[in-house]
Amino acid sequence: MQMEKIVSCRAGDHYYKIKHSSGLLILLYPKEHCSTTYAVFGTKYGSIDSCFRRSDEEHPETVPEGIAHYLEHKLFESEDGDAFERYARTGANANAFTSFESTCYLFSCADHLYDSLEILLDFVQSPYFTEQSVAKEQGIIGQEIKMYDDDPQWQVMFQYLRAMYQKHPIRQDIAGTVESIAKITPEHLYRCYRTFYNLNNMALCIAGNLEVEKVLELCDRMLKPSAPVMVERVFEEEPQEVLLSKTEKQLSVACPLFQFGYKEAVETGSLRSERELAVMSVLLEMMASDSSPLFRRLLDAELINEASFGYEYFEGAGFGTVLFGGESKDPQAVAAMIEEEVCRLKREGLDHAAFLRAKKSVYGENISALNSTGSIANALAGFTFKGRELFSYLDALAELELSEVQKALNRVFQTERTVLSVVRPIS
Amino acid sequence: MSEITSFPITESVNLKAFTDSRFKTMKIAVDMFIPISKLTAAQYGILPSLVSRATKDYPDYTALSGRLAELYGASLDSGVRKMGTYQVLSLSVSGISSRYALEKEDMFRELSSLLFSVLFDPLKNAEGNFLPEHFEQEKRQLLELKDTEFNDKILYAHQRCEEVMFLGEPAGVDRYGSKEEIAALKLEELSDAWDELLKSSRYEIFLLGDCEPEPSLFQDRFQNFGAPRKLNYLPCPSSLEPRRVTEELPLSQSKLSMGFRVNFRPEERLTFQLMNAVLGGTPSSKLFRNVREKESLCYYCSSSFDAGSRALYVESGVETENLERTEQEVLHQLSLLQAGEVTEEELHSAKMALRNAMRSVRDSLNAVENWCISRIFEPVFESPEASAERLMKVTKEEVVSAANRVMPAAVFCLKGCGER
Repeated sequence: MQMEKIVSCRAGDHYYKIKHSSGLLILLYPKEHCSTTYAVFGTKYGSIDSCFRRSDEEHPETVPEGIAHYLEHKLFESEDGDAFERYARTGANANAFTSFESTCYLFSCADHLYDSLEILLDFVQSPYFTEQSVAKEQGIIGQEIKMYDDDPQWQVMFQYLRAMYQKHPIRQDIAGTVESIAKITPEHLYRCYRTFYNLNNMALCIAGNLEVEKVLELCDRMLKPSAPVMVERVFEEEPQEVLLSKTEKQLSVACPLFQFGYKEAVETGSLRSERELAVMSVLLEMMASDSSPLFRRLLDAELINEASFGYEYFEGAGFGTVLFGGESKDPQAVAAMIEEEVCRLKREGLDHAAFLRAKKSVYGENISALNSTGSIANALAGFTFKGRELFSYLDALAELELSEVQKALNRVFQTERTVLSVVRPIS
Repeated sequence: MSEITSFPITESVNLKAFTDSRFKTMKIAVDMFIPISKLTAAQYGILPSLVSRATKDYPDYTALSGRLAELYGASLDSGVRKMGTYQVLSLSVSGISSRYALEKEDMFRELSSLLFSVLFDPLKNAEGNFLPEHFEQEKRQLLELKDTEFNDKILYAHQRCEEVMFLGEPAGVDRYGSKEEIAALKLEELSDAWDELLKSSRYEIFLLGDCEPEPSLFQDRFQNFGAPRKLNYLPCPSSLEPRRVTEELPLSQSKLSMGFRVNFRPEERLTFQLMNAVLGGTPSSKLFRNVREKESLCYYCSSSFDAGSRALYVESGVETENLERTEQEVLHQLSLLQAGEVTEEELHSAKMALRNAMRSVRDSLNAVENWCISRIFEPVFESPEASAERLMKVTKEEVVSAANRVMPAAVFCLKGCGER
């Protein structure tokens, strides 16, 4: 077992990175004076992993959409009852989520940490699926899918991704479809479980009022060593061009919602570094935050409102896009105004004062996030699964140069690679 | 562990401090309580965002936002909510603590002076009015917020249920007033409305996180504001006729929102909170285990307790053809609880979950503020830890007796129909 202490002078915090002999990566972020502890046990396995190749097999395999999410639901059940019932005895607030690239099981607690941690480590390592229990979940997940069918924000986002990407599995809904989940069998679940829930592909991240020794003792007792099998994600090559530059649908809404953005050219399966991420955070803050000229113009033209307007650099394995979204009476006009601003900034160059201000603002937001045990544990997991380190990101932010930001603007924002997705009221 | 400390400033202004250097941030908040009425809801509702749009030193939105960004992404927030028969208007500032400020700014001074300037010296024109362009901007955004609330069908169903349940009562007034009332607002009336609000509100002030509490600073500023006001829970009728409203919309999933009124004395609040947790507040509750897990009827079915309004809600999203069955199943689970069919394990699980939530409060500045605000009607303030201790002593008989005082008051069905 190797242990490394990672320190940030900027944040005044530290955490431990441990490669456990079972193969599991463990990140422990002690915050002695907190009253809570937040634990995340996750696997690098999300909705985009529908085609994969195991290192002990020759050929790649494709499985139905929605399996990662289905597994998340079913793992809560084991032969001797369900995990929620076990947590009920410790009082921990437990949950789980599936994203595009990971599945995480988590809890937050004010006491009985080690009892709850034992439950977490146990149930995630104890799959139990039967025909009957798999069938029962279809009604529940079916309703979850239908809830998202009526959620205009979810719809405008997936419509955007499906217009932007031609091949990448980011196009697929995280929960799958009512049709695809009907095809899921216990065998599929076991197969994906045994492939992705290998401890070498997983991480345990805990932040809060914890004792490192005690956590590690429990891990020694509970972790079942995994065979050294690695798993490779298999992606088709994604063209640089978008599939459709405009896409829209009608839903029961009172005003149109939009998502507009640029497709970044990235290599198949590749990930961005801490520095690249920091560059994009500062760039977007400069371009579209409340204090930017663009935001002001959009607001004065009555094209957006503060409550709904937002922006994001959304990226992962083999995909990257900058997107702007919200509600607007005229989404086309919003897109035109953003385009115009991009051209102006490319032509005139980014403003140095705005750069310094944006850096301070992003720095403050990141320091603030280190208050909460939940946001720390989730950030550790998110960074780890994307091959990044949390404090290096803070350092990268501080060291950033304006020229890098300008370069990113020129590279990522390409007019011929935009998508405008709109959800309109039913006419 | 630091304590939540009260500093009464006057009969109408109370300050609570919870300061602790383990936080990397601070927050200063002013919450104003005023009785809600159809006549003034829209007027008062627009004011927090209007006064915080700009200040004399930073006279437009971009300049003010720029200043906040320079202060390491600090925020100046406004909010409006409803608690029982009160409209609660909030203004707050938050930011990183001074020890992280790269240029050694005194963050507490910077942030408190920003907050004071929007509260006591908001930007006005030569005629003494708020700036017309700011007014128009806020009015438009509030009207658009109404559209946003319709877009979110879970929220929409909940709001409609509340409206139906409290029809004709002050508690049924929207926190921002209606669309028509917002559209009819007059700029000339708002300056006086703000002065009236400052004069007649009950104030709760919070100093939270990594900062030095300076109650004297606030004592000076708030000395002459506010009106002493005894804040009370919404009265609950002794009997009522349940109401039912159904609306149809082209949706994939139908929403069921059931409203109940619960008559409890202030000292019984904790028992009712526990009863709510047993019924539908946690994954080990009756609703989650039966309506979702056993019957597979839905993805979510949960209950929530709104103490200020003495109300309880049960909400779910289901297939249209299962609306009736789900409603029956919810009532069945409630009747089991009323008949005393609750196991020691169910009771213990609910207690553990609630205790965990209470013991977690001190880890978040917002949670501390919410804890205090939501206990504003209590005769004596109780800390989260003291509540947690008292909670563990509540008996099964008390929970069952509480369940028997839950009165069905309203059902709102949002029926999904046809193709989208």
